[in-house]
Amino acid sequence: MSIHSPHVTIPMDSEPLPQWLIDRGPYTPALDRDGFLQKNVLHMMEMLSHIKMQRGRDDALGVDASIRLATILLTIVLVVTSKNMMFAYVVGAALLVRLALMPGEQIISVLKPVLGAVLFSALVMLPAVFMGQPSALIRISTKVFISVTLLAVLSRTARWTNIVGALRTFHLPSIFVLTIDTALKFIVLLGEVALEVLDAITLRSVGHNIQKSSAVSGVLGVTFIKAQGMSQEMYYAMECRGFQGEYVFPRKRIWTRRGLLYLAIPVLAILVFLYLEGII
Amino acid sequence: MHIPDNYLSPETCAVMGVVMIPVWAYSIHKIKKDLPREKLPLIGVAAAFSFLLMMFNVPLPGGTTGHAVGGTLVALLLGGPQVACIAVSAALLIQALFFGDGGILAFGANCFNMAFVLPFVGYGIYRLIAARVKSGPNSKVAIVVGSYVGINVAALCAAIEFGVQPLLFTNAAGQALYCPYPLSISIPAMLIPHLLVAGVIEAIATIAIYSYVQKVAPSFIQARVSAASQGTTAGKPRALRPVYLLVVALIALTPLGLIAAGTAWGEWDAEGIISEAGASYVPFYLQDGNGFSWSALMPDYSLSGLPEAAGYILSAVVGVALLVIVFRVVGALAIRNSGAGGSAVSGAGAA
Repeated sequence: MSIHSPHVTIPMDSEPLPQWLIDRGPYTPALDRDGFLQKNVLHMMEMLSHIKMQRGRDDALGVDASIRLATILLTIVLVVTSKNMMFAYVVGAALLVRLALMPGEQIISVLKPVLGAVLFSALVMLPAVFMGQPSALIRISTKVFISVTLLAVLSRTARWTNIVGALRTFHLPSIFVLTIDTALKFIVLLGEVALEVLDAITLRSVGHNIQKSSAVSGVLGVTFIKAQGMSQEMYYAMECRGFQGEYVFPRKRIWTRRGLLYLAIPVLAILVFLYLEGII
Repeated sequence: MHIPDNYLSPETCAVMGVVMIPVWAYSIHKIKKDLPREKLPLIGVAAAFSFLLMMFNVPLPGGTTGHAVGGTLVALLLGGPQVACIAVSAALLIQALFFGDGGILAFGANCFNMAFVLPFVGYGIYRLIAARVKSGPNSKVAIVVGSYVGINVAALCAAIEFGVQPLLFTNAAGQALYCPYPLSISIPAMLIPHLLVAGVIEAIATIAIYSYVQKVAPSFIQARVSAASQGTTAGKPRALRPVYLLVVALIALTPLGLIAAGTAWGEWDAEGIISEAGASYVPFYLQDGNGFSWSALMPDYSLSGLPEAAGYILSAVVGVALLVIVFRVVGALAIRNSGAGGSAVSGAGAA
């Protein structure tokens, strides 16, 4: 890998390079398709930057992530259950207002997955229009927009460790929360390993490389083998810090004043839902 | 196969979530019992690995790419479907929470398909075959068949979850509230791309990565294999008959399921991928003018005539023949490899 080998020394009074070595050759590498390599590299980098961007970010509004997550779950349940499209439109409008309050960069990063999901669902629902169920296209696409946007806004405005911590508030088994916590960290570490191997393949693939496709299984193979060692090291590190087989969380105060104020949102959502569905 | 929210009714989501609770509880119990404590971080690492696997594009013939789920692979490499169940569930939750991939209400359903059915069926079939062939736990046929069948059974489950929606949940006007496609559409729409494309990717990725790890870090695979064979099998090759019966039953069931659901393979064949269904789907309904009859569960075959029935019997035959050809080729390559004493990766991959 290293270019600077300690054995290569350049003598001061060396012979000049022979002419044939200086002449420019007519080498043009054969064209090769490496779409999937580039796709993987870009995809991987986008995901990594996405995770790294949220580091050190403070939670918006100062509301505990568990309250926000519970509100989102409630809203999604209400949207999915509603038989009247009015409720979905109201929530959609409120969400657009929330989006409008965010900085432009954040709006873009929210809209990327949202538009992908909405477009996909519109395509999947297109045949339904010709089956005599044209409303499915609008209904499901609108509702998909709402659910994906709700979660995307949360993931862009809250620190992910706090969202994982919220899962603990919901009494998920500690082993599962530990798994998610570890996974989030290792996605970055292993993603970087995979990226390095991909880079190495790209560097070695000047021109036509027929072995490129078979090298791809190696990317994940190497990543897996590295992961083995890393998990061993992580266990030693945990043991050094007194890990006894139980994963404990520091409990935080959830119900701050802001948290209580935030409760107005789910209450309002329920009231609007009941009103629009004709229950009250 | 990541089901977004709003495709399934909240009732379905709740049922799938409730079904998953004992599965998760069993997996966690089994992990706590069997997995040594120093392996605990490994589950998180496995979750990260399966997340990366799902976003990793595998090159396909013709310049296109696709990605694997890798449930069987994680089960194979980490010694059991229980670990895979928790790892894939964690990966799915991360995708749903942070990446907008798969619904949060549909999380239970997604876990049922990809974290429960896929690794348990895939690994179960692998064990079933591996216990009965000479090459034992390293059998390529067992790995390929296990991962291929695993993802297809998972896709079938997803298709059934979609397909029951218009049966169970409609409004006063008879219009579907959630996924509008009945079983007759959802099953071929999910299964055909999975049988033809996604299943092949899953099998290729599983065998290729497994073989790579086996080649580069053989001690790791050996330790796992010896631990696995201590469990149930005595390491002796058993009679192959049950495996053949299973394969025949699976081959027979695949077209049977399609015929029972009342669809023709041919119509969906050209689609390849569900996301493309929209574009090429339209002309069929417009030409035939029978779009409305599709909303019924069982289209009336006596009216629609012979050609359609003949069409899908023919496609069923082609499908079965293709499967048999794949089995034969993989089998022949496996014999050739074991005869040569080497372990060629590309052989099984090409199949």
